[in-house]
Formats: sequence, C-alpha cells, structure tokens
Amino acid sequence: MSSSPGRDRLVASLKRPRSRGQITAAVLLAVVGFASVVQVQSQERDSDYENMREEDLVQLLNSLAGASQRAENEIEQLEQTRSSLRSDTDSRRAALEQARDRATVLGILAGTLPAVGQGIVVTVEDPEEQVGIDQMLNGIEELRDSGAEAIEINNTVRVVAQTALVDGEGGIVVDGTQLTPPYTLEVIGDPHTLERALNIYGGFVATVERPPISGKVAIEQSQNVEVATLAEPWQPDYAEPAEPE
Amino acid sequence: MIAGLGLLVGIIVGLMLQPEVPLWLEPYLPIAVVAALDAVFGALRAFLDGIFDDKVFVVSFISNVLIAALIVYLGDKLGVGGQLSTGVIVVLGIRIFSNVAAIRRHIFHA
Amino acid sequence: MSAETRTETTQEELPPQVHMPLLDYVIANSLDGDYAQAAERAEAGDGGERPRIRPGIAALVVMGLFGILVTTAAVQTARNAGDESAGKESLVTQIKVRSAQVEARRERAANLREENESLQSLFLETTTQGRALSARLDRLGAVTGGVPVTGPGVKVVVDDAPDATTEKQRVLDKDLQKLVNALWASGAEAISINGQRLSTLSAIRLAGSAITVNFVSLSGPYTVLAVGDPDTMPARFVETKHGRDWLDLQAFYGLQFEMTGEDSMTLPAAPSRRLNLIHTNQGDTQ
Repeated sequence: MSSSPGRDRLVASLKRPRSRGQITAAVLLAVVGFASVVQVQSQERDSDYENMREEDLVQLLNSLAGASQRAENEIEQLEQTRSSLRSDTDSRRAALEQARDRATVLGILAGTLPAVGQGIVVTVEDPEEQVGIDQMLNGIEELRDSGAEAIEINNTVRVVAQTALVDGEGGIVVDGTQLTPPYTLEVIGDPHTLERALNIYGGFVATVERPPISGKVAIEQSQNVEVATLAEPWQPDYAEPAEPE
Repeated sequence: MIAGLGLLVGIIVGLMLQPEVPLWLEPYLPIAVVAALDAVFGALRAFLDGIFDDKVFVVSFISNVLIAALIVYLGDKLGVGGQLSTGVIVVLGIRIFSNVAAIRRHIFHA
Repeated sequence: MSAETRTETTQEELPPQVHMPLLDYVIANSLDGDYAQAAERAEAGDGGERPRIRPGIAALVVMGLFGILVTTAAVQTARNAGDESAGKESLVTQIKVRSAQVEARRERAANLREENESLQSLFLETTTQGRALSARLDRLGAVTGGVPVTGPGVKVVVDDAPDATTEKQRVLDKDLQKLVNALWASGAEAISINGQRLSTLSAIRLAGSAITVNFVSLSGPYTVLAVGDPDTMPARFVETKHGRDWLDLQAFYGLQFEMTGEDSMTLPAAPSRRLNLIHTNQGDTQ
C-alpha cells in the first residue's frame, strides 16, 4: 500500500513552513491555545465556589453545619473527660503528697533518713566503766517518755524501735555495735522537757552520777541537733503487713 | 431599514417597561428567544435570497415561538423537560447556524 | 397492490426526510419552505396578493415584538443573575464562615485530645508512683509500727507474783523494759504489750502504780507478743543478760513468766500520736 495522501500533505507542510495558509492557521491556533489556557486557569482559580450551582452550595452549607455540630459535640465530650481527668489527677497528686510526707516521717522513725531539729546533747563520762545497759536502757526510755523523736549514740548508732542493748567487753553493745565511753547521745525533741526528764529524782542523771557508777552527765540544749547516723535498712523476715481490721 | 427601526423601537420599549415575567413563564423565555431568533434569521436569509414575504415571516415567528414553548411544556409534563428543551435548542441552533452561513455568503461572497 | 405498483414509487416521490440523514435534512431545510412556496405562487400569478420583497408593516411589528421579547428576556436574566449572585454570595460567605468554624473546632478538639492524652499518662504516672510509694510505706510501717503486722513468734505473759506485797514482787516498768530489750536482742521484729504496739517513740514507764505504754495505762497480766523466729528466740532470750534477769525475777520474787511459741499472731499498728514528729525535720543526706 502506498503512503496516504493525507500523510504526504502533513509531511510536506512540515517541510515548507512559510505558506500563507500555514501562517493564518498558526495565528488562529495561537488564539485558540491562549483562550484555552486562560479558561483552564480561570477554572482552577475560581474553582472554589464560583461554578457551583445554588442547590449545591446549600447542600455544602448544610453538610458543613452538620460537621460543625459534630465537632462541637466531640469538644464537649473531650472537655468532660479532661475535667474528670484533672480532678482525678489532682486528688491522686494530693494523696501522693500525703503519702510522701508519711514516708518521710516513717523513714525518720525507721532511721533510714537523717533528722535535724532542736534538742539536747547528752555527754556521759564513765571513768569507772560502770555505766551498763540497765542505766542506758532506762535513760533511753526516759527520753522516749519525754518526747524524744530521734536519738543517736556516739554518732555511730541510730536508736529505733528494735534497738537492743547488750553488755560488751569495753562498754555497751547497741544493735551489735560496740560503743565505748564517753557516750554522747544526740536527741531531738523539746530541749526543756528532755533535760528535765533526765534530771528527775532518781532518774538517769541521778543514777549515773551516784556511786558505784560515779559517772558524769552533761546536758547541753541546742537548736540544731543533727541525727545523721542511719540505721541499716532491713526487711523483716517474719513480720508481714496485715490488712487493717 | 424599517425592520431595523422596529427592532430598535422594541428594545427601547422593553427597556422602558421592564415588565416582570410571571414565574410560570420564566423557564420558557430562553426557548422563546432562540425560536424567535431562528425565525428572524430565516427571514433575513429569505430577504437576501429575494423571496421574503411578510405573512410568512409573521406566521413563522409566532408558530416557532409557540411550538417551541409547547414542546418544552409537554416535555415538562412528561418529565423529560430538560432533555426536550435541549433537543429543541439543538435543532434551532443548527438552523440558525445554517441561515447565518447563507447570510454570510450573501454579504461577503465568502 | 402489485409489485410493479410498488416499484413505480421512485425515490423522487418519497418525501426527503425519509431518505435523508437527519442532520442533513435539518440543515438543508433551515429556511422555511414557505418562503419558496410564496415566491413560486407570486411568480405563477396565483392569488391577488403581491409578495412584498421589501419588509412591510407586518415585518416591522414582528421585529418590534422580537425586540421586546429579547429585551425582556435579557432584563429577566439580569435580574435573576443579580438575585442569584446575591443569593450565592451570601451562601458563599456563610460557607466560608462555617468552614472556618469547623476548622477552629476541629483544631480545638485535636488540642483537647492531646491534653487528655498527657493528663492520662500523668495520671498513670501518679498511679505507678502511688503504688511504689504504697509498697515502701508498707515496709516502713511494718518496721516502725505504722501498719499492723502478722507473723509467727513468741508470746510472753508476765504478771506480778501471786499475793504480791512488795514493790519488787510486782512487775515494774524497768522489768518490762528489760523484757522487751531482751526480746529485741533475740531477733524480735515487732513487739506489742497488751495490744500496744511499740514504735520508735514508744516508752514503757511507771506512772503511779500503773505501767503505761504509749501513754496508755496497762495492768497485769501483761501479754507481750513478739514477732520473730519462734524456734530461735527462746534460746537467744536466755542468752541475754536481761533475759537471765527475768529468770532471777521469777526465782527470787516469784514474778510469773510464761513464753510460748506461736504460729501466727497479729499486732496492731501503733497509735498515730506515737508516729508523729513535731520537732524533727528531714536532715540533709550526706
């Protein structure tokens, strides 16, 4: 099959670009091209709402109103959740604060935290090495009875509930630690009350200073007693927390 | 010449009166205009062909407008108003194009 | 009807719309055939009407009507467009306002969701911290007397000598102190006397003729519960000086003393006033 005359014509026109017909066609095509591009661009630019019909616009408005309402409902719900979360968190935080405070108090009582406060410093001279666990125990009980809140002996031993005194070679053994005189007791509590308690008739001071012990007790009040010795942290082997009745 | 004058008078009267078109008539107005256009161009072509006739013009004008409106009205009743009106516009449009082409041939010898 | 009659009908006698394609027909008949017919009639000399080659009065009137029609249609369209565009404009404005509203609300919802998420994790954190703290409090409480405890151990019941007359025949505060000290030295982890749990601040004192523990007056017999190892505590007890002192008290003054092992005892917590610090603050950790 020979090439089609149409194709020949096309090829010929490409080879001979300057005939009057071609120029005219070119001008007209240029106009068409320009107009098309302008229209397409105008379409894209104003595509938002210009070309929508009124009923479409009404529909769009209604659907937007619906969406807005739904968003508002969601906001309400979220705000409710937020306020309940906030109040729950606040109450939890308050409870935590309380618990932390109590942990501090119990820590001090257990001897796992250092303590500081006003109190007295008791220095017991024992030249005859006669001060024994009977006297010391009595002294500690007198101090507890008059509001001692934290006690340490010789900057070495912290007195807690389980503190036990036994006799030792050179002195008193407190909670397994050998102490030697002079004994220094640092006690936190009301200074006047504490000093008075030790000085009562037949009390610690009287017992220690009387023969056969013939020791010497010096009591110094202080506004800043530091009980820094910590007790060994330990876990009970036999005692378990019980449910409160 | 007189025809052109008539057109001018009609336009001026229309602009001055600015009549309110009743709502039930509104959808038929565009169809009526296109049908009237077809009759007018047909008359112009007939005039240039040398076969113009007053009576034919009047009849063709009125009948075009009425028939076009009637067809669209019928279509509305049948529920195919939009489609029928499209069809009527297509045919009238073709006729207008054809008549205008003939008029152009007369005027420009192109 | 014979076939011949049929074939007599030629194509020329069939009306054109039968054999012409529709568009061709429409285009071919754009001009009303009436004009051609009127012209033929005029040439044939039919009828008395002279065809007007020039448009006459009728044409003028019709053109006038045409003018009115077109103008009215144009005016009406202009009016509608005005209304329509005004209507559309207000709609578009409303749409823009609503869109902005929806946008704003959606953003707020997203912010709230974010906030709630972080609140939620904060809440969980406090719960976790709370749990850890609670466990620590339990441990500390067991050791200090802050929480009730249960466990095995020994039960020691002491009392004045029967028919006690002298003071030494009665259980004194320092007797109880020694008893408790000996029990601590024997490995007791928690001790209570007649239901009074001993904490760091608890004191055993004599007030008048009654022994007070935790400032609560007690009277004999004194039941001392000590949680610990029931197998080793009795032996360790007699190894301590204060434990042996009690053997002497029994022997010389007739104080009553009985120690039994127990599988399970429950000791209450110390009264809260005995767990209260007034003068003490936490010191600095070195």
